[in-house]
Amino acid sequence: MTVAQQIEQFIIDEIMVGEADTALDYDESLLQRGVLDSLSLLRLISFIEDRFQVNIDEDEIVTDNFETINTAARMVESKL
Amino acid sequence: MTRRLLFLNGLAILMIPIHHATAYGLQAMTGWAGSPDAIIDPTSNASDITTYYVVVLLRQLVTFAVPAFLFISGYFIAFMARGKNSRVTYKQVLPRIKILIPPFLIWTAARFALLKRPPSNLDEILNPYHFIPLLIQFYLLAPLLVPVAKKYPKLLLGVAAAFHLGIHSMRYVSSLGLGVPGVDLILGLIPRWIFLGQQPFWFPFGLVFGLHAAAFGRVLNRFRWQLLVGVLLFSAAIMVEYVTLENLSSNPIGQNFAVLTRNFYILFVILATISFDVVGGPLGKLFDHIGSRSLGIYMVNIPAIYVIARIIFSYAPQLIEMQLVYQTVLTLVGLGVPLVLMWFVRKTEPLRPGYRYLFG
Repeated sequence: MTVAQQIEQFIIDEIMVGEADTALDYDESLLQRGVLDSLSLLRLISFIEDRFQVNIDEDEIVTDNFETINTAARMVESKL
Repeated sequence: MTRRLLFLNGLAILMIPIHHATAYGLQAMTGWAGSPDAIIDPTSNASDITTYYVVVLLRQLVTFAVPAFLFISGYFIAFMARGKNSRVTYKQVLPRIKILIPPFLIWTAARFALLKRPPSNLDEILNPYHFIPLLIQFYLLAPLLVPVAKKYPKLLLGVAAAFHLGIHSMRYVSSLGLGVPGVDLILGLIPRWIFLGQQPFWFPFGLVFGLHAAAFGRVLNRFRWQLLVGVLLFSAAIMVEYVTLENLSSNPIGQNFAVLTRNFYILFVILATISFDVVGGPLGKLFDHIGSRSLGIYMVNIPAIYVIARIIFSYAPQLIEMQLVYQTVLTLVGLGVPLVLMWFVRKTEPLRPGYRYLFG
């Protein structure tokens, strides 16, 4: 599985529980879709750090890096 | 910082059922004293007085939950405001509000179904789950607060703190029966579900903290032990203040009364919790797990505790005499029932689509 697919899987399994439509476009805004809130953002960061063994600095926790699955995946890949 | 905030969130949600359990405990010790099922009169002997004040203190100490949630929500808005797109728009916050409304409506309706009566006023609808209306108001204010938090962070914190301490001071004046004109009128106009009513500080604080997280983080790392000492000192100060006020006041101050020192205690708890790396190991995982279900626990614990408290009151009133057991049972039910219900809905295919409506 690619980084983007693993992030997508986490979001579907852990964050979008019970949503009828879990189809996610990798370039779709997670904020505007209502996927990310305070808790799900923290959980997503925690998941990424655990799964990919990377450290996300405070100044990297910005919408530019977490707006979409693709931006999050690119940030992770740049650290691998 | 991320894991520390997750830990704070997990710790805070554990406090919610304890907070509600202590309400029933105090109710049993005071409000039910005249009924045949009343077991404890706190004024009757020394051990009951001790129990009473232990529960009062516990109730005061666990009240950092909603402030912590608001702080974390403010931090989230700061996340949206950082980076290139450094604005927060209604397009971003409205989806969050949309998700908060169904659980609020469903569990508020469930609560009144259990009470077997309709609500008699707006406060009765909005107060029990007051975190939700508060959060919605702060989300609606967020696009306006962000530019201020960026340009004038100290001013925003100062104004929020002034409102916060102002409203708490007015409640003080009212409780002490000092008869200051207009105070009761103002308090009557500002219920606790309005953002100015009880918790105006914590969301803006989380927002400013989030916008300057790196700088705050350095300070926290440096002063973590002092913060912990502050938590302990203000825990003691809460009790001293509560007992003093209870003795001075002409009216009963009530179990929900927020003493002034509690605000400083909450500040120190939030800062101390996120200044220590206490998030590893099984405890960290447990808090992560519980914290990730916090909205569901917040919504379901109220009816769950209500039902078990009624059952105990009707069928096993002798349990009320044993406050430690009684409150442990209520707390475990308040935590366990939501977790089991969420697990059940999640695992049961026909119910699964309802998960988000029920638990956010």
